Amino acid sequence: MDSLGRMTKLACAHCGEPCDTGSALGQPKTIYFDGKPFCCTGCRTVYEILAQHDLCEYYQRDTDAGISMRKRPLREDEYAVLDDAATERRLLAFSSATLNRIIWTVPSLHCVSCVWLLERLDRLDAGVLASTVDIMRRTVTVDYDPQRTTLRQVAETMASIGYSPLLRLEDLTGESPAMKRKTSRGMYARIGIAGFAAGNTMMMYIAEYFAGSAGVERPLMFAFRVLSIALSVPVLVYCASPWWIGARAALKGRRINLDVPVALGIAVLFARSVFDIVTGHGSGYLDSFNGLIFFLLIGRLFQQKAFDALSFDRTYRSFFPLSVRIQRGEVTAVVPIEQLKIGDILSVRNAEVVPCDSILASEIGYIDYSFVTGESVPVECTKDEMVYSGGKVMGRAVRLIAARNVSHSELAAMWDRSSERKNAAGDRTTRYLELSDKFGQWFTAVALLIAAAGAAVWLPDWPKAFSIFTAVLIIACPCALTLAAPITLGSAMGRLGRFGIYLKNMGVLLDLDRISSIVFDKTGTLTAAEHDIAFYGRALEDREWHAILRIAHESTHPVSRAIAGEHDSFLLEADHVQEVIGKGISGHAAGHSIAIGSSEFIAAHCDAEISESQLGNSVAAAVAIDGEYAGVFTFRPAVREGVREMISKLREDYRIQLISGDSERDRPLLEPVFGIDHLRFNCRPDDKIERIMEAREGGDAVLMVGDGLNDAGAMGEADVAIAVTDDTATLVPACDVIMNAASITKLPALLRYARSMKHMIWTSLVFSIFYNALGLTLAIIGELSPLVAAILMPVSSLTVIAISVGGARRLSRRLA
Amino acid sequence: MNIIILLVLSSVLVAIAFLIAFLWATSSGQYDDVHTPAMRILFEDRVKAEAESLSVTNYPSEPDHVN
Repeated sequence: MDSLGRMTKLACAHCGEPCDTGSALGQPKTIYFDGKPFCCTGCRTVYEILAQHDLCEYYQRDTDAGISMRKRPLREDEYAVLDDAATERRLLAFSSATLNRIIWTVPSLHCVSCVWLLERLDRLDAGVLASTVDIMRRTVTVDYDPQRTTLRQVAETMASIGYSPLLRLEDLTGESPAMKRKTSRGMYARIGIAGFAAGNTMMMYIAEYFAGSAGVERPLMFAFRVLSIALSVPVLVYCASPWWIGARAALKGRRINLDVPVALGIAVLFARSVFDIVTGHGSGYLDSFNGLIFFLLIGRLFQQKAFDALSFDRTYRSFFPLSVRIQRGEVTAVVPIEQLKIGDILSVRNAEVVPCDSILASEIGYIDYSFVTGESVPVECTKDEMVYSGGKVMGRAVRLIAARNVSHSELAAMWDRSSERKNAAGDRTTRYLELSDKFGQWFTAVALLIAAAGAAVWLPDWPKAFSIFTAVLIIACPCALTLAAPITLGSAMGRLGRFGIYLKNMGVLLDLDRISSIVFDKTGTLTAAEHDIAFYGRALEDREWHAILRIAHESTHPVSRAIAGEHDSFLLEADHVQEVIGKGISGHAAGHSIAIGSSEFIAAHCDAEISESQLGNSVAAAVAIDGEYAGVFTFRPAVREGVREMISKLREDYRIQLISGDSERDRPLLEPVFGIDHLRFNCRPDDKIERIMEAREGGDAVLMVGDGLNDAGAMGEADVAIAVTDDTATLVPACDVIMNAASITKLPALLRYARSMKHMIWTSLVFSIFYNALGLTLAIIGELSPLVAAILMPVSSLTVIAISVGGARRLSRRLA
Repeated sequence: MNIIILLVLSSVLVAIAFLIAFLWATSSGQYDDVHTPAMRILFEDRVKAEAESLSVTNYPSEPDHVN
């Protein structure tokens, strides 16, 4: 196919990716520096910086070290907005004359090497005093001396070694990492106190359990009981507060959730114990009380850990940059986006997002709307045409005149619509909560009924009736039941995270189990996000190749860009370069005269008739060398590895469909995978929504697998939405699950896992119901002694925890 | 028997001292991040000694209370 098929499998010394990927041309792309191969200049630069500062130990820390610089080219004024004092103030966690503290979110943080390098930032920037990494939250806390460096410099230093800090609008408004920290500290304190109280009260109670109440002297027994009450009060007031708050909120809203029976149970447990002790009736159940709260809190901790793992809920604002470049008169200034006014002239460069609907002021521009429409081929816009927000500028920088404010733009409208739709349909993410609420109502009613019935039997005997009534409420406390689902699903979420699958919340696993139909979006999901370019034509010599690449490099047209790749260190001279915007480019290099462009453009450069039809509409550009037609470049999107096997596996159990915003171009590629009837192309976002609604009306539970905002509406409409992304840093709205693109083939395993997790929950529920029934029987016949409660309650909680955690771990091995 | 009451009280007091130590550790942030320190401990200080001899000024690692 091409003459230069050097398929050397060299791994880049920085990022470890093979040096010859990114383009199917096989062009000589590997760069050598210091005797080591690099896949791109970006990676080489990082290596250079590290070598200069004697930081090459970085590469020995972890085999995963090194972040590929190919996907994320650095822009020189990306962080210019940080020079703005107001923005800086809002971002800083602390600021004084000699020390500023900033907590960055760095999505590319992933391994030991990252921690090692980022905690040595002071060697790269002398103004940095200290830097501390939190790998779970992916944050870096940097303390710096504002007199010796600036916020912008710190950000740029980090970006220069591949750890670009995330800079989004939400950082200015959202919840700070420090706040999250506080809530988790409170949880640990609660667990500590409850565990302490549980252990100590248990000791006091054990004396009585062994010796019998007659075997312990009265003053000693009295002292033990008073101490137990004293230890339990903080547990009741402080440790159990999450349930008090939850139950109160529910009752205020005139509903009953699962917190209500739990709160009722622990309130009765405590009151009954104190009553028994004060009246001298018995020793009460304070050891069970403390133990119960201790276990309940552990369940909560699991729940919270799962929440902390990844925050999903970002608004459309997260997509926009913080700043824009505005031309005012002669000067170009970088200003925060909220200062953007209608009529301002913005300059937006390659790979930057258009922040608001605007009118194109440049002659021509290429906008990639794949974000909004799903079509991955850039759109060509000419002067005075409307450019919509959310589009990404490709190639040549453009000047735009802002036509609408940021929040009034199309993208915002699209986002609002999809979230409205979601709310109208009943936010599915809370379905799990709803379920547990319903369960809570049912449970409270039944428990109260049984308690009342049990008491009624003894009715003339009021004290006995009271004791039965409270005993039933105590044992009926749905402790094990509240533990089963959160602990199973919470530990399942944690395990899945290790395989590059992140769930939005725990309920998603239950929803995944109901799925009967799966809808795929194509772009970036089943095929790689970037198009591979292939050359069809006569065999070319090396020199001719170099010349083509060199000339293509001169152009800013996206197709030329894709042909040239990221290779920018050609030593060849190019002259007579002439570009006809939107048509093609021609020039001399390496002794050849080259023309690359549309068929008409090439026809003007040579005599050959080019029939485009025979090659289909996948032709990107034709090439002429020295006045002779040489061949064409075509887009060659490739199906991701393993996708074919995955789909055929899924087809056995699910109805599979593909809905794409793209043209029919890729039909031949995908037909063998999906079958003829299950492919739909040219779908607008609204069509996608309709398709999914149709499927749902047909009684299917629909899983949508797509790549982000362009599917926001459809994803909101589906029962479960999975977003597939190359880079978890890009923002994904309206989805329940984020999967690394590399993990997409794990989809069948994920669905299987979800099913087995549901079985796990049922198993632990059966166990806890068994314990509850046993306890209830004892309570009704009046045999629920403190000793029985002290054994039964922790044993049931421990069984549930053991089953849940053990099951989630063991079964997750099948995912690997 | 009184001596047992004393014994119990003193043991509870010791336990409370440990509880307070735990709460103090929590509030000072020891449990904020339990993953990174596990990685950090593997780093050798080989280069650090070098760097310290080279650098002109040494800053205190972290101020106590800034948040």
